[in-house]
Amino acid sequence: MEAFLMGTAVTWLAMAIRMSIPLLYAGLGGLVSQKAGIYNFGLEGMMLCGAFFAYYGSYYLGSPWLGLILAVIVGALLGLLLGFTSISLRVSQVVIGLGIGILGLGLTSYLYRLLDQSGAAHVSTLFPIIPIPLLSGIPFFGEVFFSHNFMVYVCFGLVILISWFFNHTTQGLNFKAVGENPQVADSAGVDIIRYRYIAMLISGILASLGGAFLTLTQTALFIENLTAGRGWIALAAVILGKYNAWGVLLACFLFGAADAAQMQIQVMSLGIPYQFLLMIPYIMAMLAMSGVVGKVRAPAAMGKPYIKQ
Amino acid sequence: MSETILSPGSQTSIKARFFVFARNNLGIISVLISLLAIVLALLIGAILIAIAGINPWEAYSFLLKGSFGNRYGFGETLTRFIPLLFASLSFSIAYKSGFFNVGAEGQIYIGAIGALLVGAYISNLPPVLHITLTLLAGFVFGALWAGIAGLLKIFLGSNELVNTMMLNYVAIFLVEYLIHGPLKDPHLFIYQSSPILSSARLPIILPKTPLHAGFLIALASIVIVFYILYRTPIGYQMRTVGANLRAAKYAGINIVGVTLVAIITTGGLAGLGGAVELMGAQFRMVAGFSPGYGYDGIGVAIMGRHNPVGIVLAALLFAIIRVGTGAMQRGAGVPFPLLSVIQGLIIIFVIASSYLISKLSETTIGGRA
Amino acid sequence: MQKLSILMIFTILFGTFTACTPAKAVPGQTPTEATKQIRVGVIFSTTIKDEGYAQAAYNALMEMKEKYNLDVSFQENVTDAAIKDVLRSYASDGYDLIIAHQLYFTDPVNEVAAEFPDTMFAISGGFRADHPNVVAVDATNWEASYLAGTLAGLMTKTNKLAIITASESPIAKRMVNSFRSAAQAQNPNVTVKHVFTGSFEDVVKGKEMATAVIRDGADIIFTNCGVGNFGAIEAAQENGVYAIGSSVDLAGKAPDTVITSAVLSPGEYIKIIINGYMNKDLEWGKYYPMGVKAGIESLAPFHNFEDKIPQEVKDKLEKVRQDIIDGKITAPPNE
Repeated sequence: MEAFLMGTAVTWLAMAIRMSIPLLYAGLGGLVSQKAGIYNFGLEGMMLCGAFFAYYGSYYLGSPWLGLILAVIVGALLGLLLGFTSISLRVSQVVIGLGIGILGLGLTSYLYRLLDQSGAAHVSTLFPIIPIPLLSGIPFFGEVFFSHNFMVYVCFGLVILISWFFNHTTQGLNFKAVGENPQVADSAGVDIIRYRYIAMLISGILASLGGAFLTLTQTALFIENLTAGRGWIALAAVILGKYNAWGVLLACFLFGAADAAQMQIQVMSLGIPYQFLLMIPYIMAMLAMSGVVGKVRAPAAMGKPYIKQ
Repeated sequence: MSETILSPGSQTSIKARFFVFARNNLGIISVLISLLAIVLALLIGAILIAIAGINPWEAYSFLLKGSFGNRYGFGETLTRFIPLLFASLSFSIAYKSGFFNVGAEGQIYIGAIGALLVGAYISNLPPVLHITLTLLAGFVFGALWAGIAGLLKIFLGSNELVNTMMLNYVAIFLVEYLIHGPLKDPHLFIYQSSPILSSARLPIILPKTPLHAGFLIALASIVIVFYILYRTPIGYQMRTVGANLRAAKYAGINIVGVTLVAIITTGGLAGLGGAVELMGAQFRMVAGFSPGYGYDGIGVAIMGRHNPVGIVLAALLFAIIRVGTGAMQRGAGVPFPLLSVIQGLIIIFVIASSYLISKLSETTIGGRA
Repeated sequence: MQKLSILMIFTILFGTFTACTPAKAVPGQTPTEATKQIRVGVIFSTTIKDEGYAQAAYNALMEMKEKYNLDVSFQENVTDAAIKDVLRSYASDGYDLIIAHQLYFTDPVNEVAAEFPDTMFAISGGFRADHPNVVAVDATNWEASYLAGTLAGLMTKTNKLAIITASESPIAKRMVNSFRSAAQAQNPNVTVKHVFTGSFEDVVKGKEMATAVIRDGADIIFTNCGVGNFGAIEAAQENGVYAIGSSVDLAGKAPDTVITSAVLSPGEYIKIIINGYMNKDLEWGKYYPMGVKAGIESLAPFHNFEDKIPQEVKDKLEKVRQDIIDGKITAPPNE
């Protein structure tokens, strides 16, 4: 029995990590843009485009690396589109984000149909799983944490990097100032517009990588609307994570774990309505927002375009 | 047009003339700019359609024909217009009061559940009473659902944008659970709720089309909402709170009370939209009851710049897109993904073009001609 | 003043829209009137590129279009919220035959059909026909699963099987019960685990669910969850276990993993409906559940597994098949 529970826990945790990584990439993307004071409501569309172009690159150009590069380029372009409209044109970030979602769904489906005229299976090349030597041999933890593909490890690395950047570098603190109080930052000589553009560029790339993770490591196929709403969950994870990279990591893991638990509970044949399990992370995000699970405060200048006085 | 402020012969006179014209006709110019943006998006769409080997002119003629050109399409467009209008009114009234409610989608679902409980499970009522009670239930349930986020904001200072968004997911999972369990129609093989009784259904107002009396309720709502906002003391207080919280405090406005009114009306309007959709069009709760009306409502309200005429026009545009793109698929065989691309382009272009409108109104009204 | 002018513009635009449309509409319609082509409208709830249920129907539709020179139109991704409007649009546009390709469209079709008694409606994959102008054609949705269960019961080495569905609808439950009782009829020691993904559209969840049941010990997975099937098959391939596909023959996706598929021939419903309409040999007002006997349900060819499956297994399968045709095996419960 104990061995069985242990096995289930390993399966569940490893699954939870795989389910949470695409959310985490996109969530970090959302975090970077929100730190600079811009809502990225386009995460879903950017993820979907990333997933398609990564798949396309890997399938047509024959290497997942080329797929990854394509995804980065497309993500950067979409980030700049949202950046241009919200920073330079100062129009509604929320609605443009929604527009990018609809556009992304249409564009990827259309290109996929052009590609898929023959009806044969197009299977792309995936990144292999790289067990980390020694560490992967540790019972339990080895399989949960150290037997994944390289994009998982990179993602954890990004969490450390982003957290360090925002808390320990001048540029990182400038970024925060841009999101908190652009007037003050401006008078201190910080180029608001430039910082916000950089934030959107990175945000787009990270969101796109979240989609690319799905098609470069999880499934070798592309299906219309492959991301199936994961971008929106990532947006929620940014708040549940209290605008902090480590928090976003935990939040994404919670969403992934709830989803994995929902599946695992079925395998274990327990009769809990799965809808309630799926609600938990959203309710937790609300509680977090309300100070019940620690206080969350959004950057003060969130959503407000900056006009130089 | 007053000639007096022009300085004849100066280099800026044409520019100045234009600004005076623009100031007096800002509404028309806004509409023209938006139309231009739509045309631009449609032109790009036309190129893509042509690449797909379809005659774009024919495709677009189906867009218009499907949404206006025949009696049924006309009725269908106005029917789709109803939930969009409710959702956008819900967003606008809250926005004007400083409450950012992106939760109309969830409030539509919960409002419809409220209407379902009264409409399907209370019988032997005369239609007028039953319809009134069912609408009321929709309003109350929607208001209560928004109230969760509202109370969290009032008492804990919690960000309502995030909470209303989270509540959308919770609402959709909750409805999914309800139609799989307690509210499932026992006579059906599949997961749908029981239908609401005929005494709670809204009558069709344009025969041989789906257009139901909810249209009249929607039109009445828009009048009432903007009457309240601009012609009553509470409306004035709401706008003051929305525009400048500090000024509202100095003026001695009861912030909590005003915010509560805003929350009840925003949730109630969205819930009413759900109730009307259930009572006039769908009759049963199904998974995917609202195909994103709540989110579209945000787009409609922002595109319509929170004014009644703008909202009506923008809601019509969204309804035309919803109905007309279906006709483009059926009639001209335009593939679904392309329609999605065109829709995305229209939204992005129209919103981006609002930059020009803001710029113009700043310059002209700010008098910096 | 400002608002008035906006309204004026709007009225003018509105006028132009309505005024110029009929002129454009006429030339488009004349050729169809002249040749009296039969007009068929088909409604899909998903994209036609799902590599399964809808795509098979779409391909069949194109085949029928060629065969009878039909004027075919279709609309994809129609939601439950929009289905009635789409049905009415087709009907008021004067289409002769309107086919809705989805179980959940059963009620709306029956409701709308009552309003258009002169138009013929069909529900492909539906289960009820309330009016003389409606026909419902569907698979039994359990016979092919029974064959799949028989094969899986005979082939498993771990005595653990799994079935993945998209939902826990009564139809899914009947498939599960069918698969389970068939497997246990051959091998009483077999346990069958049922899991569902909650979505017909999530390929990644299909893969994760499959991984979970494989970890639990299942060595043959019967996957029945829309596009999730492709994820489940990938998981089976990566873990070196076997998969049984569903709906259409999925062997092409992974020839050395997919033993066979429980074929439901969704394309055939469309063919039966259109052939029946053209040749006037299908009785409207009825529900036709079709199974193994009608050739609608079957196991797909074994392809690469032809030589790996022992002859005695094939013989037992054939006997079960015959028993189903002879009515010796009855429909399992859907609870």
